[in-house]
Amino acid sequence: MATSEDLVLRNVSMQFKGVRAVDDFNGTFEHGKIYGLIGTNGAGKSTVINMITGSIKPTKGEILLGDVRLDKLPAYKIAGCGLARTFQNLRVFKQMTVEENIKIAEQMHHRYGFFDMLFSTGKFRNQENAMRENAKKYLDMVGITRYANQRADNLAYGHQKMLEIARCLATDPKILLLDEPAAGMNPNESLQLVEDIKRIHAETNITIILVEHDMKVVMGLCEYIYAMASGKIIASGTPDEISHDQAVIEAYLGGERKDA
Amino acid sequence: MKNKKITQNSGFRFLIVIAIPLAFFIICQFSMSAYWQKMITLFLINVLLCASLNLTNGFTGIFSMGHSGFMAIGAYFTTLLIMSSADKTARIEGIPGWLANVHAPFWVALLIAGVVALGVAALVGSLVLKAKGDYLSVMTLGLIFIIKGIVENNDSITNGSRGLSGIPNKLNLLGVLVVLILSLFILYKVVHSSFGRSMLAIRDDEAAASSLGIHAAAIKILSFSIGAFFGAVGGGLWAMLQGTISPSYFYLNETFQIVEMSVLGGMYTLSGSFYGAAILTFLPQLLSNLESGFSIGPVEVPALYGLSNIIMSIIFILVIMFRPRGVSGTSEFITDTMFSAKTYRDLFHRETWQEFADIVKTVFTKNKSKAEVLHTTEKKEEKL
Repeated sequence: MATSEDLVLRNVSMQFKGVRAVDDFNGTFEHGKIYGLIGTNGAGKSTVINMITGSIKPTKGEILLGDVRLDKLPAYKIAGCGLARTFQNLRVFKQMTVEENIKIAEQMHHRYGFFDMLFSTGKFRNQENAMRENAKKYLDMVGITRYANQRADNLAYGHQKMLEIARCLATDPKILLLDEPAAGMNPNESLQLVEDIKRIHAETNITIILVEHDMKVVMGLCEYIYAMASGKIIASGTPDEISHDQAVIEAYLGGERKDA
Repeated sequence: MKNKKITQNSGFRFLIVIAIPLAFFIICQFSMSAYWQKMITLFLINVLLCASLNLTNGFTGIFSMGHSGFMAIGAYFTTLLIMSSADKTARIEGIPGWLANVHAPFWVALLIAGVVALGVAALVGSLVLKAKGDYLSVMTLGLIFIIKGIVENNDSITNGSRGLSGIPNKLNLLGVLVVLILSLFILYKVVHSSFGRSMLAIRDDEAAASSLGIHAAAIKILSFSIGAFFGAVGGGLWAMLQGTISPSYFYLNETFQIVEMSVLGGMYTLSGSFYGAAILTFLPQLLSNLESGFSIGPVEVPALYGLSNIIMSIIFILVIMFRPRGVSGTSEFITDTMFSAKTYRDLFHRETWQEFADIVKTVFTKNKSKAEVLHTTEKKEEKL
């Protein structure tokens, strides 16, 4: 049964001129679980993420979070519904400090008016202080507190990735979508990433949807996996089922599987 | 207690950023020639125009070139509201009766002018701010042509391309300074709030900003409108200072001059506007003295007209090459301490000045033995 925090995609399609990037995607993402979305390049994984978070609108079908039609909302309102995402290529706010990056995300829940801002009223100071306090909490969660006052583009690549995740957590999301978090990481770093994501999931109990190439990361984390090829779901199931699925193996290796 | 830096001392800050400039402007007001008074007032107005443009161009990343359009709105509304009805009927042929009779004190006129510009900016902004980058710049440039066209073709209201003269000047240098400080205060508060942070986030990455719940379109329109408000106030002050306006004043020349100031001074800060305005207000005037020929020692330089333009463009190129973020870069001298009550409370505490004196002493005795310096700090610790 679908609860108000389950994400449901019904017959979602995306047509870019002549290309059908996503074709009839049906899927349910239940609250509190970790999902994987795998597939070769151009399979349409990122398009699915983009449609869910509203940066592009599906040409067909509906996306539901409980009773809310997400596909009818602009991106900034979808964020307000409790969806947060990271990006395939880093998108931290480079010219701002790490702490400010987090504050941006928190602003949604800490509002004040023009008058408060102009005269630095008690409300203004309280909200700003609360944001600073919370920022520390989120930075602690991903382990980059010591960089709080540095400019974001001075951070190492891996730390910027963690900052992006912390920024998402700061919006207090119900669903966190991670678009290839392990891209550009070496095996050790991606192992660390798996541990970090597991820990964050245990602490917050939010739904996590992971788009990933790195099979080690996916198999280590996900409870349920959707495998895609050229816009279609070719298989779905537990990691174990997916790794033995003939269609998936063909799509990935382009031929018959040799050993069991 | 740690040896504090001199820049952290409230007393020092007060002296450098508030007391000395204030004293300077007061002296200017009472002892300088009318010419220099006018120049300095123009400088202050340019600071306001430039700072308000920085809000959009630097902070939000909307490179607007339509600022002189908002200036024109401000100038014409202010003028029509503060001129006496006798003056208006005499100068504008066929002026409608209601317009001739409407009248407002100058500060109300400035506010109305600002609000009108704000409305126009919100309307224009909601249409053009969907475009990005160069396209947006060109579209905002189009605003100038439209406003010029409107002003030139409504003779019975604006006196067309002949312009208006005899605008009463209600504000002297200090009056303009007060308006500037108030405006900078508001701009500063806007920039240093969640609204300001959203602006920076949109500049850095609009897609990421929207994914975090920031209504990018609304923030862009708002910052464009707030910039336009202060642009119009600047335009109103400008009209009062010059005493005469015509549509051709608020055309490409003026708009590019403000953009130049903003880029040269540093469009990513509010303080950059001071540098930019200072360079572009005073330097051409000073350089123009050189155009009629001068001598460096035995070398006679003949009269060379246009020399000041050449030097200005060389300066501009050099700044862009070596300091692409403008003279100010990212350092801001308008800081929180200037507007916080604590700074002013501190001024009435003896410790502030004692500390100030100690630091000054330390600076002057630097050449002497270090032990002595340490000694003074120790003594101070004992006292506390």
